[in-house]
Amino acid sequence: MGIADDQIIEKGKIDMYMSRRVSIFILCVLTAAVLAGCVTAPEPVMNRSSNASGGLTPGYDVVYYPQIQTDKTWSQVTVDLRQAIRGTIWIYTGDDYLAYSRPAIVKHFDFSKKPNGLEIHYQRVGSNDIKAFTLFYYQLMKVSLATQIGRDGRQGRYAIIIPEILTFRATDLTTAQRLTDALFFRQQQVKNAMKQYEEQLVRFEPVAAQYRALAVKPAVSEEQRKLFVQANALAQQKEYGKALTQYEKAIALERTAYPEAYFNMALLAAQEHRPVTAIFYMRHYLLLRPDAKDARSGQDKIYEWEMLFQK
Amino acid sequence: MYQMKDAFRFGLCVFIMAVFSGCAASHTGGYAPSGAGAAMETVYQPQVPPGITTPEAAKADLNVLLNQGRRWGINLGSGRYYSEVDVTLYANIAHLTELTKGSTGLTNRTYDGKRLVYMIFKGAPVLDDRIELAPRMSFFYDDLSEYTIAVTRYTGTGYDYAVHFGNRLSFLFDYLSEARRFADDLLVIQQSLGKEHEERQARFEARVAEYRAMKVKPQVTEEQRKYIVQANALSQRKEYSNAIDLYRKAVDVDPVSYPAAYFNMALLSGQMRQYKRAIMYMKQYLMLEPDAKDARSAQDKIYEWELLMTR
Repeated sequence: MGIADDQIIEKGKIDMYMSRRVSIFILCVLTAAVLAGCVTAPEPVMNRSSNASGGLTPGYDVVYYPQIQTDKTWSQVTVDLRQAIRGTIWIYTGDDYLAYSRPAIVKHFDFSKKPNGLEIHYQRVGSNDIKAFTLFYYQLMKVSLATQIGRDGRQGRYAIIIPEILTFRATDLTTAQRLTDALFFRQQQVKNAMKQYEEQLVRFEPVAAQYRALAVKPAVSEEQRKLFVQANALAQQKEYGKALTQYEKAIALERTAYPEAYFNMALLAAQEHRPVTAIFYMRHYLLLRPDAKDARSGQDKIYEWEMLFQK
Repeated sequence: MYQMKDAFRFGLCVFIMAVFSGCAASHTGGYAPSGAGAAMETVYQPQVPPGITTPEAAKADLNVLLNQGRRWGINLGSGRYYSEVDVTLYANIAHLTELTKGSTGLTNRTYDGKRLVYMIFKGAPVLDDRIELAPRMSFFYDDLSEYTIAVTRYTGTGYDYAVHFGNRLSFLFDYLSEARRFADDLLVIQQSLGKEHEERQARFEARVAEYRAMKVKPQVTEEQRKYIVQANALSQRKEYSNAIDLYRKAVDVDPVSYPAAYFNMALLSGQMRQYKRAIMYMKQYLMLEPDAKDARSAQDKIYEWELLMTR
């Protein structure tokens, strides 16, 4: 445990830190105390996607920049990739794209198992176990995607580097190009989703204003209540993705009946490695309840989430 | 549950703060020279290069030099500049890996038996105040004031020329032309240091005088708050220099509205064993908040760092 960290929490910024925890705590109690697990720190963050030289990776030359494929769907892109795969794809996870780390061979890509990321099944050299690693799509946001050639002799000539997360190295150029395309496609999808979220929030503003003006707030209907209770139960069982879906169903019935739902949905989305969505929901909450006690901590959470995918 | 843990940690760090011990890194064991530094033959004394007159130009040139894709090396000297333990020992390879985590340009580490001989870099971000070998391992220009920059013939293996910084670290090059260019650029930066530092200090002191005279202290702006929240999150993840960068951004907006930023930057610098910077930040904190509750312990921290600095 780093002592500096503790001192910082202690010295600093108790007003922020503690009050946030406390207010989240209150809310959790409010919502049947189900979301205790939702406040855990997010996954490791990338801190700088490209080096100061403005290029991609030092010691590498770019051989291919991905193309925008507006006419294709995700499933077509994945079919293209599957058909193109020749030779071997190696991955170096985490920081292990350094030469001295042990590489692993990609056995299989699972494109649809997780909505928030690409699941990669790999096998370490000299091991029989097949393990899975999920590359979350938000992790692609800060990256300039390209196929690069390293000027060193490691397994796999064609590299796709996602700094601090993982590096793919393929022996075949076309394979590397299609993989770059697929990752780029997902990156674009997330960017498009962000634009749509922005538009939806603009449309939500008058709805929220109307809600704030109401003297008597709408009540939660029995049908909604059922969904909320189910969502809470799912969250309690750590089924965060399913809980989020249940909340979304409930919110679809009446968007302003239960503003706290948005706060919880934001925490659930963050837990599911979807910081973009988390911010989207938190902003709903802030629009509906700008004067809530935990509005401050909600805004702070937004800043933390932004850091995960913004340069 | 998480809240409980946090509360516990809070209690614990209050305790740590109260005792204010355990922060001092234990320094045992001596320094064993490892190739660098022995019998140095100076082959070039740097001169201000034609066309590069400002430190900005020198940094831009350094950026090109260090990120052009050609390899250069780092020798970690005594191995104790960045860590409590000697990271050049093979037995401590895990420490070194932790220290160099997140490096974009490190491509290889070479061991000779039980000792690290050199690390090969293909690049490193050249930033405004430092060369960032890795997020937790930076070379700060401030430290240049302690050294006479010179290119020497390298007596170790792997490279031919070196620019040594005591037993802390050495930059290694294959060609004399590269080493000369590196030394020249650093000379320009070194010469600008004193003046820049004085100017910064004068500006800060003027603002402090204003701050002390204020009846109503300035509020933290929303922009600052964003940086502070993000910096806190990063320091929790032990990304110390990124955290300092964000605190710096916060104090750049207004140097006096959030004195705790200086306290935090001091502790983070201390954690990274950048004692000189730690002392500078802590002194700035004390100038802003001479009557703070923790002023006593802050001053004690300075004494502690002053001792560590001489080791």
